[in-house]
Amino acid sequence: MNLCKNLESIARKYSEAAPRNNTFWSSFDTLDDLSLNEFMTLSAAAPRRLGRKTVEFTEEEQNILQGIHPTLTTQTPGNLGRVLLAAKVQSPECVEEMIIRGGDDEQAAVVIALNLRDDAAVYKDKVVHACRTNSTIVHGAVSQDNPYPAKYFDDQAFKQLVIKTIFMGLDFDKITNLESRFNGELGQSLTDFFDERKAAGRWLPDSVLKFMKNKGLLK
Amino acid sequence: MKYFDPHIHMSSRTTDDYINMYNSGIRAVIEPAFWLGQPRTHAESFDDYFQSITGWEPFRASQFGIRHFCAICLNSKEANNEEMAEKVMEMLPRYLEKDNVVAVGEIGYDDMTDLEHRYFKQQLELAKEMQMPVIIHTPHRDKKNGVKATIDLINDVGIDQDLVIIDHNTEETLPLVLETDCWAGHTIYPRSKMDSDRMAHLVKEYGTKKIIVNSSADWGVSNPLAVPYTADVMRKEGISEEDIHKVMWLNPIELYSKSGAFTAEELEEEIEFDQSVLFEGNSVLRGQSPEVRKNS
Repeated sequence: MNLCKNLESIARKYSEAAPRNNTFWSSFDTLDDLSLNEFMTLSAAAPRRLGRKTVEFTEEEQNILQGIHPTLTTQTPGNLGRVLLAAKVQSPECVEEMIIRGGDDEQAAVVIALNLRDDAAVYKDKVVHACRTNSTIVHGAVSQDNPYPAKYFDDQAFKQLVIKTIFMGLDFDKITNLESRFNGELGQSLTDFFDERKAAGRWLPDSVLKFMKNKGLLK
Repeated sequence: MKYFDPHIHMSSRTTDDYINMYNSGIRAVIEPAFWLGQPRTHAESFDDYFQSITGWEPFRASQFGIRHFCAICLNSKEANNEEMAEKVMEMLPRYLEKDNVVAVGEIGYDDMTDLEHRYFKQQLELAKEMQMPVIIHTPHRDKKNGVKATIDLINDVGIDQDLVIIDHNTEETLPLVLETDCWAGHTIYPRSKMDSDRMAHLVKEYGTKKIIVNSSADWGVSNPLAVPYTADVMRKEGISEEDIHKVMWLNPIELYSKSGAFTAEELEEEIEFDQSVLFEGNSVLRGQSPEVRKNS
């Protein structure tokens, strides 16, 4: 929970200049008394109440944020507030609602925040469903630098995540713990994908080819 | 010149439209929530629609270099289904806080029924409480009386008129709106109500203060390039570049930045977009050639 406390103090510090930040923090202080609708309204409102513009974090703060998720160092105070909400709220219903029905940035915030929750495993099916999107913001938050999929996804869901990451042009090298989840079926899917692209006169990114070569998947 | 189309239903339009709009200078749009050509039968359909215009559509627009904002509401036609309307009203505050939402709208009268009046009033009160701009649709039938009734209700609720735009004006209704402190919207239709030539004449007669032009392009016969097209007509009519810039860019920015969703400075900066990021995938491009534009 230290990470949460540190995140909260950073979000509080950088939202000080926002004119309506008090309305956010007064609700945040009674977070578990909020209804589902009030929670989602607070999450939606976070950028307008805490700040919509990116800020310059100190080196120490950057290290803290980096420890939670690398992309947090480029986030607005509003989106940090959303991560904090999803990390701290007790109700699993609120977390599930944010995963499935939040906006792109809210979904991105909650799939990062799951790594700060003790009950992270119970949201697996919802996160898998959230990956059925064409938004690179949401898929990127799950697939890039996020330990959640490798830790909780089953083989089928993890395979889909890997293939779709390539398919969407996201960074293959940023799939966390890919090596530990590699198996024959994933290798076969990569080979099939390579063959399909080749037949269409298209190619896979160098990072994928390098990985496949190391695994002996390229003839 | 950069243009802002502050009323266009992009989720009913194609990627070709986005490309043509970008190439014609359009850099920002507002998509008011509206009906879909037939009445919805479940309140939850509104929920998914609101999700779409606050989620997928702004992402899709950004892939073509256009900023997408929206307005959220219970529209007047569907306000006549009371059971559904009550559920939709409960959803509104949550969506009005979303990142790209700049207004309550488009609300107003259609058949001018009691239920329309009730929910129109409640949503004006909500906008007043949240200090949000409001887009007011004026009826296609009996328009002049609809505008008069709309102004009466605005006065009754007591919302700051500088937050209100009364839309779809004609030569008959514009003088009524200009007597108030509300903004006056004009929709350029391909064949009816208001066209580009008449719009140019209105600007010549009444000036540029609080005058806004839009396409209201949707799933019907409409022109998503109506704003830049009308700007060209205004040029030919001898209206200055400064005045065109004010009507087609500065005025909508002045009104909708009151929502706090964007600032004038932010809109001056072009979006960096790189469709090649999505080129390989199941994206908006569907395997077509990507366009790349980066700020230097």
